[in-house]
Amino acid sequence: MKASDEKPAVSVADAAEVSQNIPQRGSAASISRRARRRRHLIEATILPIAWVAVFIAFGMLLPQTYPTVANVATMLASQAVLVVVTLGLLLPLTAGDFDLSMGSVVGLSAMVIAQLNVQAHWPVGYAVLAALALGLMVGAVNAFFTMVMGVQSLIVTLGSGTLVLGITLWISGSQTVSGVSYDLVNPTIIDRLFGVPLEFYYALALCLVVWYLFERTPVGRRLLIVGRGPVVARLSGISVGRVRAGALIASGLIAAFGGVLYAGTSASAAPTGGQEFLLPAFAAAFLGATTVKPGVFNPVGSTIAVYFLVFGVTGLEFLGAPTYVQDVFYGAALILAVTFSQLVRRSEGTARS
Amino acid sequence: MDPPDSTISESASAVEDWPLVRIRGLAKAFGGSRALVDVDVDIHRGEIQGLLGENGSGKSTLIKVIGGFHVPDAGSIWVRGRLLSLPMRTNEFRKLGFAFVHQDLGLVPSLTVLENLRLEQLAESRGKFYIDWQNEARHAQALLDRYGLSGISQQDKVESLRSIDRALLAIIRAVGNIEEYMKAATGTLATDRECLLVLDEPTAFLSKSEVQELFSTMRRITEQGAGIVFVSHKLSEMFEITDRITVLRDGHVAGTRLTADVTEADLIDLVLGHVLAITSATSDQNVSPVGTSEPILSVENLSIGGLLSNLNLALEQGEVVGLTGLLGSGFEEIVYACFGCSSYEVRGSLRVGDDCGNLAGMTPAKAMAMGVALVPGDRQEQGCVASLNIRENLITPILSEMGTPVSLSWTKLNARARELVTRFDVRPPDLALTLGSLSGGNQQKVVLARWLQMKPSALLLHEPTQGVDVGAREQIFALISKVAADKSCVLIASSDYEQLERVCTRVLVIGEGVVQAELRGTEVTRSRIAEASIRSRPLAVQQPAGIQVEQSESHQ
Repeated sequence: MKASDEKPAVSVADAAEVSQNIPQRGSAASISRRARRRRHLIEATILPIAWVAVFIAFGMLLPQTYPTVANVATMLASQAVLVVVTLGLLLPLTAGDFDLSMGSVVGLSAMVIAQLNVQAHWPVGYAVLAALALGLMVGAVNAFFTMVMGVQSLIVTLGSGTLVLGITLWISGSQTVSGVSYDLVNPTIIDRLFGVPLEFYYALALCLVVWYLFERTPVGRRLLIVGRGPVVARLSGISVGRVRAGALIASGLIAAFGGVLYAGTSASAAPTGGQEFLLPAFAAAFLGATTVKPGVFNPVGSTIAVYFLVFGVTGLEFLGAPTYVQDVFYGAALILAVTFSQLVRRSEGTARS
Repeated sequence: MDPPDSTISESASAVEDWPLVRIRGLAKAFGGSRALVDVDVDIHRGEIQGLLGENGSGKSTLIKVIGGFHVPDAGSIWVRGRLLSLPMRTNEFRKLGFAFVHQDLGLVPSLTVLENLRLEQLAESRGKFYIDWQNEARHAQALLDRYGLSGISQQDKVESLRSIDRALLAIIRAVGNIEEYMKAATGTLATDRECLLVLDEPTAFLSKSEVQELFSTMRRITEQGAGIVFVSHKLSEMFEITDRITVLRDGHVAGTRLTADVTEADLIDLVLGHVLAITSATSDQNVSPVGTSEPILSVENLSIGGLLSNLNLALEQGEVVGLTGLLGSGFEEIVYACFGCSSYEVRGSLRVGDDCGNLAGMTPAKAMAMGVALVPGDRQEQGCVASLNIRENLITPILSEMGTPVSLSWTKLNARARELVTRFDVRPPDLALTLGSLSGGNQQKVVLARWLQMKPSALLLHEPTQGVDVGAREQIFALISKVAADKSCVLIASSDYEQLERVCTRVLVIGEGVVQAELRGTEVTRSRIAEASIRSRPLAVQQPAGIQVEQSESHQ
């Protein structure tokens, strides 16, 4: 079997919807179906409820500072880049691949914009286009080595991510470049709608696009089937390689878009600035797969997961926790999210056998 | 060996008077079906005993009971006159001096010969703090030399070996391990050599000359006092190598015969029972259509790796054609080759109606475009996605028909999925259930529904009713007949002879790379298919001297 038929690397998928003993007919069936629906509903709503609970809890602890319009607007907008990266990550994850280069691509994209705009005096629009093109290119390189050469995506993107980071450090001379044009900064963080900077709405729009892709297009179905059963997909006439390659290229492009927002948010680019998004994105993607549509990587769940994490981390920092609490929080969330999926799957297994 | 203790029963005679292994009254049931019923078997020292029987006759259950994998429901096992207490502990079979070579051999392809030969010893950590590689290599080399495999380098990767060398490696590893265990247990007495080796279809993937090499190794091992149980479907091999043959049928011992005293016809009778008279009456439905119409599906000059060469096949409208043969004959690869998903190198051409395609460059997508559909045998891995629900599984191949590329119509999809679930009687009819929670029969109905909604001109099936309950099996049979009647044709690769008898109008028996027999109409009976399969044999010229072989009448 070729590399494209290997088992999917990502297994949260198997956390699957709840399935119990299936009685053949009559009232027993409808009871079990109702029980199944109810359990499904509880699972689907745990995270959104937890999000609200976190907000209320910190609101009561810090009534002066935490539940203010300004703070909520900041929390929503400041993590737009993370939402974008997480949404991009969902595509390869659904297709059964990892993309570990996304953080570096965010950094490269921001740095290219800063360099071209600040040092080379390009209009910021062209700089943005160049950054997006570079993201597409990194994605294409990842796809080439994964599909054509048959190297595992985990390894390819680990390597390409490090390589891209090296390039970013090289072109920036390891220096932060600031002074990015307000033509980019204004529509990102300065201009507001309902008091929230516009970048939040860009992230929401992308969430909508990914949701539409997953739920309403044949491409979304193909991604899912390729991720869950590559052999079944191939035997159903789906070009597994093309679907997986498309997902990796798209995640490269979306990471570059994240870099655009990153440059716009800080009006500058730090050479290693993108790295901090990678792990939280994974945490949010896996946490998101436990909610809204449990067992499936889904954009709405992932977006909620990002904000659950951000609201929690911000609250802790307001309470005086040192900044490293962020790492503790994200790391623990990733492990717990995946553990939770496994537990759900195991309890389903025992329920059936 | 020490004198046997008080557990020795009846005759209380010396160990030498007992067979190596004595089995009495063994019974084992799985759920409601009885796999073994009152089985009595003796295995003697220095003997090669053949174990013969159809698929499902209980051979592998018997082997697994001896190995301690299954706990028998009733019966006793004596080893060298000593009654075993059942259930056996894990790995107890090793201490008893038993070794098993299962069909998959149990080798790690990416490791070296040395690492594979000494797999257990290298992994054993008790009483040692480091690995003495020189010592390990000495042991391995002694084993290789003793069994005439000195041509193999210890540092070769197992994946680079010929299939015969791999099989031999697995066998001598088994022998080497039990010898070592026995030596460690009781010193170096002659009876220590009395181990038991069980070989489960070791010849299935070997060529004729390789089988001869294997046989000489087996003889050498028995000369040292070991007993061997040899499982094969090939009568010619049974006659050549065994001393006695035990035949299992439906879980019973149908008979044990000295090989020298039995004829081929007797053996076939024992294997099949007297089913001929009963089954021939049911065959009136199996009448082939008159051979005048144009074939719908034709395969020309099909060659598959080293398995098959220059096979031609044509299916007419309404035909249900079965492909069968023994393990290793490659009959099942034909359907995968036609669908462009064989793991072997394929040559030849495929014609469906007016479309013609080269099989070397075939892909599933191209085959689908030509109107071919495939239901693979491995349902869990290839047929369906267990973690997705019924709806997702049903719609996989028809995504492009359901709305436009940028918008999928869930209304259409749901309507289609609901209609399919009703039409194919999938139970329970809840589209949101994951496939993994359905029974095997209902999973298979979903897989069939997925493909039949495309109205294929040719439906290819591999073991379509494996792991399927009786009721669903009948429904699937009815479906297959209906598909064929609906201006289409069906090609079934299966080793379930009863299933082939039920649904096929014609059956091709594949063996030794060619079509060994073609059965039509009233000839399509379970017994005729089985007979043709086990008679497929190496050509007469390659038979070693001294072995009587009559030419099979089923040769074409």
